[in-house]
Amino acid sequence: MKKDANQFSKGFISKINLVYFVKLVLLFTIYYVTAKLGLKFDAVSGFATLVWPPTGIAIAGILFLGYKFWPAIFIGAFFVNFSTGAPVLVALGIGLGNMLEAVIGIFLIRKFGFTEEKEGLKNTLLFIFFCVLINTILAATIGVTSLWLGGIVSYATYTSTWLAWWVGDALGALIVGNLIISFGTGLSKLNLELTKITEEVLFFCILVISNLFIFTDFLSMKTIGLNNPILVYIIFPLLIWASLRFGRSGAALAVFVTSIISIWGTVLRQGPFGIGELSHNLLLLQGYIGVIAGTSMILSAVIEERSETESELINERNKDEAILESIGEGVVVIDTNGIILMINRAAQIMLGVEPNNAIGHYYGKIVHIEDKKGVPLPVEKRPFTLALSSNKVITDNYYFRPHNNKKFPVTMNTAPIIFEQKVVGVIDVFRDITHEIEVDKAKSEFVSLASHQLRTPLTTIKWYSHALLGEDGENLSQKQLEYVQEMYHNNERMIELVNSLLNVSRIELGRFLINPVSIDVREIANEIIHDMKPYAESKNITIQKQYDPNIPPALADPNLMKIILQNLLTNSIKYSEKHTAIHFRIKNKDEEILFIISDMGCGISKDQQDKIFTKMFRTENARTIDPEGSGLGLYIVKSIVEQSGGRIWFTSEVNKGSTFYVALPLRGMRKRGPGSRLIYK
Amino acid sequence: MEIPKEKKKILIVEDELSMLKILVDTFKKENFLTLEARDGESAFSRALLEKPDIILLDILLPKIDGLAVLKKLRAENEYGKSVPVIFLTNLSPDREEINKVITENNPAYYLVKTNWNMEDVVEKVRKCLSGV
Repeated sequence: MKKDANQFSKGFISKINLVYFVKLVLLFTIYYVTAKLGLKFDAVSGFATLVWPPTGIAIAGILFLGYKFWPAIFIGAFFVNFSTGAPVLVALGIGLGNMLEAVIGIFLIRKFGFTEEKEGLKNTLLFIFFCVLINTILAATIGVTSLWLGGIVSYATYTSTWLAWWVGDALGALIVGNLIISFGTGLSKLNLELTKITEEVLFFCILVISNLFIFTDFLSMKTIGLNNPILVYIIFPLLIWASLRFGRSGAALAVFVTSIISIWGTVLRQGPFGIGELSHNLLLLQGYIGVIAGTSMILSAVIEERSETESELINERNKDEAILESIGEGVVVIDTNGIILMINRAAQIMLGVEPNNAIGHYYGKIVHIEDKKGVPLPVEKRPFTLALSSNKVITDNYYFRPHNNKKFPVTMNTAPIIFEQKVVGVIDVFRDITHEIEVDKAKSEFVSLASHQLRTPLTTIKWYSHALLGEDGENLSQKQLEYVQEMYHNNERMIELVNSLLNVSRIELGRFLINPVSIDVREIANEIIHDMKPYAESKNITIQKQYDPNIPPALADPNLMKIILQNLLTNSIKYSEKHTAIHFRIKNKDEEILFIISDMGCGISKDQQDKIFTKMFRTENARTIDPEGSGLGLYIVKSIVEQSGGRIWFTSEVNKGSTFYVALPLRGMRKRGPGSRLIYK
Repeated sequence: MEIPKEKKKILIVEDELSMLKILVDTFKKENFLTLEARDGESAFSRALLEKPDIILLDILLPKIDGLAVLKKLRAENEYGKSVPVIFLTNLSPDREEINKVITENNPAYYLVKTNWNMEDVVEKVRKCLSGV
């Protein structure tokens, strides 16, 4: 078993090694052959050439394959020079220089942020600086110094050889290196559309013909001065064309074609660079090629970067649109004239429209909006109008009656769209709430039925036990009467609890009816105080009334008033010491009627005061004094007071007492019909 | 002029036997002539047949509910229009319909059973009969 694994891993490793070796040999071969061909061009001092393509191959090879392929370059350069006649040590020196040129160049561009994932101007500038200008200095210096030390180059020709070496390497990197790299990274993006290919073929035909026309005598039908240097400018518009239309790789290829033809023509002593001394002309040609290569490289990088940013922006916009389009709720964007600008899929389905017969049409034509009762909304009451005029988000429930679809209830947010501090339209976000209404209705029905069912047995117990406590129980012993009293008392507790829970569920379902009628609140207060009297007297507590003389009749729901006052007064009595007094005041505060109930009871400690209105919350004190309470009373009171437009607050000190304030608006409690939370018919 | 001592006729409509029993017992003891019905239909027919002075009517009932019974009575004849009806129910007056039926069909009253003791119910019935 272990042996197998061993063999397997060995096989695996040798497989990896084999792949590496094949690649290494391939890179070596390409390097070697290219170098040999390169040397065929007129070389300065036999070793430095006009354009040294192997530099470009070495840089591209290290970039794509990795640093570990350095031996291919090293050995390749060594063999090329050795076979050209350099002594072993000199050839080794040159090999070292060429290898370091590629490795250090790549190391530096990577170090400063070159990435293959993202093309752009930064990559291009890094490449020109480190892989064209800087690293080649190293190779030229090591190479020429090796030649000098080997006695092949004299001190007098050191400078010219160095310069030719450096420029040759730089152009090799700039033309060949850039060509390979831009094709290597940009190949996947090749555009294979027919029109594009036609343009590319056309362009390269024109480029080749122009080059032949400028730099060679093949098409010498020139009427202007045969070798006019101005002609070389013809290449610029062509390279701009390539940069604009074919990206980095197209531009690199155009430069490559141009440099081959121009060098060829110049070596043949044709074209503008073909007159006069060759070595001098070649230097000028190198300069020319360097300029066109650098220019088109930077230009194409800038253009590619811009088009990439553009497509990213378009992408982002499409993504935003897709998000809006896919939102599960209906989204409609309307301009200030009420014309639909955008309608998403959910809205299209709900309203039964296609985008092409919705966008650009009046929103009001596609859907009629009705209020909760099914009455069509007049223009001034439509959410669209309200949102525009108030500049606020309008949230409400409506009925939608689409032109092409069935009527359905919605809950909708209508928000003004503000762009550069101006309202430019409105965005509606709505949801079909048919199901919610059904659920809500079912819930309410359940609550009212459940409370009915719970109350039925409680009522029976109440009536029978009460009967036993009266005449019907005259034959019962004292003990038995006490027991029945307990039953009655606890049944009452249960009834109260059911009532409280029913109130809580009404509050939470938003089903609290508020039915204000004109009442004298003093009468209600007197009634409650009267009801409470037995309880207060059992603790020897006096309730001291103090009403302002000019209390006007108020619009209030008597039943809710009773719940409020009953709860507060019961609490006051419950938590008061025996033989104390409770003050009950009603004040006329112009805008409000203020009820003040203060006791001298146990009070509420500071740290529990903020939780006193929380559902089911009971303070330590309260639990000690009355273990039976439900903790629902103040929650219910606060909910009723606030839902009917009033305010409630209190002050309290432990062992000194509490004072509760309830302020009801004099203009009356806010009316609430049944189910005003959702739509009901 | 009615003779005050004359026994008043009360129709008690209640489907729950245990409640019906104590209601009937109590009103008998209080010197009423009691009639019973355990569903809406028989309540309606007994009311028309025996013309009680007052009807104590539950709302949730078999066959037709108490609200419908009241509406039918009011639509039926002169007697039906004027007989006082007290709803004695444990249904909360959440539904707008309940309030509507009561305000539109005077004289009609609404009591929640759990909040009332027997003697208070009797007192309420007496008050209604005397037209207070």
